[in-house]
Amino acid sequence: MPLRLKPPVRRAVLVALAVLLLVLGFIALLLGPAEVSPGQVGRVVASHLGLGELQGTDGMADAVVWHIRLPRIIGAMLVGAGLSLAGAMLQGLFRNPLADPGLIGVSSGAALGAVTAIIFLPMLGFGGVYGLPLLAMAGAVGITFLIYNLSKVGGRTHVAAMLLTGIAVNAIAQAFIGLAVTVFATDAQLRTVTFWTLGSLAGLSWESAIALALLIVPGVFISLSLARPLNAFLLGEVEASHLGVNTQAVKRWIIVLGSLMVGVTVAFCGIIGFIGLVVPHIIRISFGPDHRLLLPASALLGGITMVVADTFARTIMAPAELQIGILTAILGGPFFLGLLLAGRKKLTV
Amino acid sequence: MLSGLKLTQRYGAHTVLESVSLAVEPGRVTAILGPNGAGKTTLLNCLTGGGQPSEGEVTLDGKALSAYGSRELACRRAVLPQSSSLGFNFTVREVVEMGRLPHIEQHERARDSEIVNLAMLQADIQVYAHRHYLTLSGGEKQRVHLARVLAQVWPNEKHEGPPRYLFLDEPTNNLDLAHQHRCLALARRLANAGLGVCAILHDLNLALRYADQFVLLQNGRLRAYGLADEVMTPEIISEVFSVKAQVVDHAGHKLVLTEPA
Repeated sequence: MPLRLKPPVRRAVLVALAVLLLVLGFIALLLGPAEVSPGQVGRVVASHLGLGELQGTDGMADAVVWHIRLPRIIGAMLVGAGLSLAGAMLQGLFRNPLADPGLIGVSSGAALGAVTAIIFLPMLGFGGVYGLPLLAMAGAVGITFLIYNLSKVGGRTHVAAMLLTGIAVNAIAQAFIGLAVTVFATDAQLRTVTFWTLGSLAGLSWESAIALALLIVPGVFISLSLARPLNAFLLGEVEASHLGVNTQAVKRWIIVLGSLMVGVTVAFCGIIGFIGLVVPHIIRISFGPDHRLLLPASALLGGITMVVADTFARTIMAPAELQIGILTAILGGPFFLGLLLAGRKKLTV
Repeated sequence: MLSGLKLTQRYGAHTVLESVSLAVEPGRVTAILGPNGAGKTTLLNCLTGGGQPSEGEVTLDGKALSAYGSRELACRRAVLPQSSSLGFNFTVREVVEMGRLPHIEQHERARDSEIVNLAMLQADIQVYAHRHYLTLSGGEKQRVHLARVLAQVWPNEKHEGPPRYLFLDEPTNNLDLAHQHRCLALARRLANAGLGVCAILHDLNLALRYADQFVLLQNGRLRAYGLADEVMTPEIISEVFSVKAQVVDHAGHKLVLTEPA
């Protein structure tokens, strides 16, 4: 049973999660094929912040920690936070805990946008650097609006319609991605079909980590102002408007914010499923559905989950890597099945 | 005063409500009555701003309802829906706290929490305050939402400011007999304290006991509108509800007795 939380307790939960995130991030910096000591990690980070000097043997540690592991770990935190927060917001909007960005097709929409950018933007003479994330985000926003409107029947979100729309969108998007990758296989940028279906954090660099941060960090803070309206939304759209919530504006904010965050993660890391489903659910079970805690706590726990999963994925069979999506699907798939079984009655709504 | 002027609602070629005019006044309980499909909920939706009428206008203190901001309006009136589909496991208290949403600037103040307690007490759910919403029965859930709308229209400390309005769509749904009376006695007390209350009711005897004015709808039209003596006559009730009705006096109260026609 969830606890009832007063504001100081809410803050304590968030601080505890934030501390855990930082500790796990630090531990992840130490893990990997190349051995690095905690002291070296400290000196490398301090030297880049202008707080200290590297010592004689720290050159290799600097390359590994600062240029390879740190951007990837920060990127993983941001990807996990963005996907979990987007999941929590979309679940509030759809008033359904099954609305995962991957399941309902938002991520596929983004992937479709990204692949379109890779193929067509060079033909039009645009560089793919900004075009790719922009088109990925556009794809995600468009698909979310489509799903929201298709799955509403008589003012209520129809669960079956939502999931079926997601299946259709996923199938269409995957087919196009498969076709594109097959036809334009020589284009190295397209990478592989598995990048788009199972995701990978291997390509994260400082540039992509910063791009992710520019969207996701402000997104977390903006989402806090949507927490109370989202609580009211769970009563129903009409009820929320009777409580003074500008439902049209809130809906647009959530769709745009949620899809932008999903879009930017897909652009850099492909489709990583189930994080947006599992993480908010764990928070709801532990602390209740109040979005004032759910949104920031999902972002933090999402970051934690992704750092742990990614560290596991890159070390378990080093020097080879396990695709991150395989890991999240192995853990998240059965979780989703469990949710379906637990809520079987509700699905007929 | 909250008034509807010549309200008409059409869905395609189907007219659900036709040229209905009425006023919900502060200090009074207005009962909307009528058989199924008479347009009661449609009328209530028009009056609350939940749905735009195809024709006609709703005004609050002489100003069009649509000219109010949604939050401004939420501070003036609350609406209890017929049923709610909340599927997330908030505690009872958290649901009632949502009623304070339009009044909160940044954080709840002590006054908000006091109002939430009082509203829960009035709706007789204070003992459930820390229970989880999804574990409650239908009638208990209905009372939680009653407390929520109460918290929304609760008068401020000095009973100042413009009058507030409470709309109830079949508030006695799922309630046992004692709570049906408690609910409407509460509506009565709120009206006595200056609130305008408007409720859709099915039970004519509850309406007779607690309401001041009666709106009787039939096929989307206003069949009768006014005080009990004018509206709740055996002839009108028999005709509108297709039953044989008589109105008798019982211990100073009017009672409607019905038989199949």
